[in-house]
Amino acid sequence: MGALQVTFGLYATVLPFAVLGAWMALALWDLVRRDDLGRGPAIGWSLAVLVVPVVGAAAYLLASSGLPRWQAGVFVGGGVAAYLVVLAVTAALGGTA
Amino acid sequence: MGETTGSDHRWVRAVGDRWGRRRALALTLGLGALAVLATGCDGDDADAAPVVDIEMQDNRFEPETTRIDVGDTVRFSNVGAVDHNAIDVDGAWSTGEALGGSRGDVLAPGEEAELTFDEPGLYTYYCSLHAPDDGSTGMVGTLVVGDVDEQAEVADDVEVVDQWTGTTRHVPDDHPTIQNAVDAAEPGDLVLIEPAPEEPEYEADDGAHVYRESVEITTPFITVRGTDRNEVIVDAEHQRENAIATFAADGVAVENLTARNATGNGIYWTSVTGYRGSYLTAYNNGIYGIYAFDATDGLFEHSYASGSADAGFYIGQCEPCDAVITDVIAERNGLGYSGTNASDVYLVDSVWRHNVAGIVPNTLDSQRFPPHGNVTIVGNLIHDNDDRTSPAVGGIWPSYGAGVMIAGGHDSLIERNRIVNHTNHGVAVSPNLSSNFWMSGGNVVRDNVIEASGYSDLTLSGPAMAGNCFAGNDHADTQPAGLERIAGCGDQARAGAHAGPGDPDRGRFSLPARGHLAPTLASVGLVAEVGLDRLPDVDYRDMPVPPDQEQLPDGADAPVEPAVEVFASYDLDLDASTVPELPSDVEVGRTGVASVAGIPIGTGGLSTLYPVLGWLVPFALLVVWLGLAMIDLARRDDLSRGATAGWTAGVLLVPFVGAAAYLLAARSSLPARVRVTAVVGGFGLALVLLIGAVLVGGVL
Repeated sequence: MGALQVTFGLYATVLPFAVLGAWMALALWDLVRRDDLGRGPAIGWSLAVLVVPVVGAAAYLLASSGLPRWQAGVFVGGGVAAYLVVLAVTAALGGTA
Repeated sequence: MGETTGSDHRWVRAVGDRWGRRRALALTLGLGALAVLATGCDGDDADAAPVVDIEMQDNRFEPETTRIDVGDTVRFSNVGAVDHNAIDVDGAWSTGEALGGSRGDVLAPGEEAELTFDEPGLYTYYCSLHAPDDGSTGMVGTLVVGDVDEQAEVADDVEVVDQWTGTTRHVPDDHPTIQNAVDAAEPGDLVLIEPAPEEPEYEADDGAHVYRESVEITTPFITVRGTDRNEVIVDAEHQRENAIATFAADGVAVENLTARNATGNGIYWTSVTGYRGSYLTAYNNGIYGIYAFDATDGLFEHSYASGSADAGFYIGQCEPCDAVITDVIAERNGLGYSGTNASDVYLVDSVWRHNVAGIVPNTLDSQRFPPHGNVTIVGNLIHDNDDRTSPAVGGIWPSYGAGVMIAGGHDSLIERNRIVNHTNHGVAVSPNLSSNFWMSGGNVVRDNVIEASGYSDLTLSGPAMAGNCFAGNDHADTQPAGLERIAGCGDQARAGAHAGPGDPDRGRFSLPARGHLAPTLASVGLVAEVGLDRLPDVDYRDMPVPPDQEQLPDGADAPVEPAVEVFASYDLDLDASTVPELPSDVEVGRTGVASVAGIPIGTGGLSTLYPVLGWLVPFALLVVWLGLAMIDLARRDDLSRGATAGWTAGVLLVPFVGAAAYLLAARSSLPARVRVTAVVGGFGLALVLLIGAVLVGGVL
């Protein structure tokens, strides 16, 4: 069991949760600073971000956030891509988890 | 831990190793002082006699034959995991006396003893824990000092005797003791033991009439049988290492009797090919009840073990073991079954209940043949293995409250068992920390019925190798969640079709990343709790006497069959095993045990704190840092798209360091005090807490 194998295995385990946490934080921060949303949509989106796992936060960032489109794409797409990269390296090292 | 046992194993070695090192250090310092005194004012002797090393392994001397010149020094080093010593059969010397102690004193793992031989001579020596005192077999060695002709080695090819000779040696009628009878027996004989006579010299403390012996069997192919399983009792009286031990004698069968009160093991085979234990009862033994070490081709059947402080049934250091354990009951032991580095073992149709943990195949670097694998566990009733009123040595506790725990093994099969009422895990597939960190892979858990587990019915503790799979179990919670979805099995991986690592469909639906870290850290926490002496210390000697057990059919008149080709001739029909019914007196249900966010609350203490500090806190830090970095990146308008993408990749792909570097080094829009507090403060606080907990717990 190489140290590299364990390291990547561990990171592959925690990364999706960490990315989810980051997306949720980003989405909530964005909701807080916006003043163009009505109370209803703000509550609706907040609930979606909090209650609908993964999809809620990603959908808000991509579809409705105040972030520039390209920036939301970098954060959401980058999170997914980073997970896939770590997974692929993990699998290539022999598949630890 | 302090007992001189031949079989103590610690499958998580952190605690034992530390103690061992400390003792070794003390001894080394002591020896150094002695050496200074002994050499006195002679000063350095440039022509110091050479030192020749002999390793004490588990359980053999390496090399077995050593030749030295007159005046040379021999250094015995215990490189094994258990205690050993070396004693000349004629009493001329011993490692114990060389260290200033008595003849039988042992060297703990890591300890050394040096002896200098100034006269020519030929010595046969033995380890008193692992060989009879005539040095005829078992853990023995030969030391040739100077110009002595070593006797021509006797060919040790023993003729196989696979039939009864027709000779029956009756105890006590023909031979007053069992030891007399087995010494007199020829290969193929039957030693038939009547209940001990009702005479004072056979009377034990509790008034029972017993054989007050430690029987050492060195004659191959004999059958040792009691006429009454419950009345023929071999009693080591809490003074002797083993009640019945077979040393390097192949083909010995022991049947229909009871062994009790050994400081080590009840009934024990070592260094044999071919062994069988049938209709045996072993209770209140300090280490193992019924036990085979460094032995292949064996069978334990229709037997019972309780009150063993390590394990009721144990098979160790064999690959392949080719061993079957079937129709046995193990209750109120440390572990029901322990198998260190034991591969190709079958545990079938048996009952494992009220032990501290149920079935725990495990891997240790201290014995040969790591890791273990290919253990088949089918058709067993496994319940209430979280009993804190059962005796358990320290090494047991990391597996506390698990019905089945695969500790650092590969390609085992756990199928069609009923597993009920466990504080921690129904079935856990876990890594094991020894000198190496052994991760589990390729284990198949399917079609079991698992109920009322406190932490989870199915647990995959991380990190783990690929190919562990879970399918078709009747279960509730799993850790991580949805285990059967993310780590499903292919259709081929089931009993009968079980083909080891080659199964093409195993883990077909698996992602490579699945295991949960919290239960692994909880096990480390339990090691720490052992080190702090905070777990129950139940004396195995105080455990109750078991009820009478089923007799060997036909008793004294049953056919006599030496244990030859045991595995090959055993009709092992795994397909016939079904999930056992739950006995009516077993109530399903646990209360007061739970987990929060994957952190086990049920066991409490450091086993809860370690997962919090080692898993939840770092995880939360990672989330906070990532979130903070992303928010900051989103706020900034001084970065190009390329720079934003680059920093995002950096914080996501380089765990902790990427986000910390961004927050500390980049020209962030957040106030420096916020960033520095989050990174330095958070990290420092977590580190301080973790170091504090590790120091308190004494692990690592």
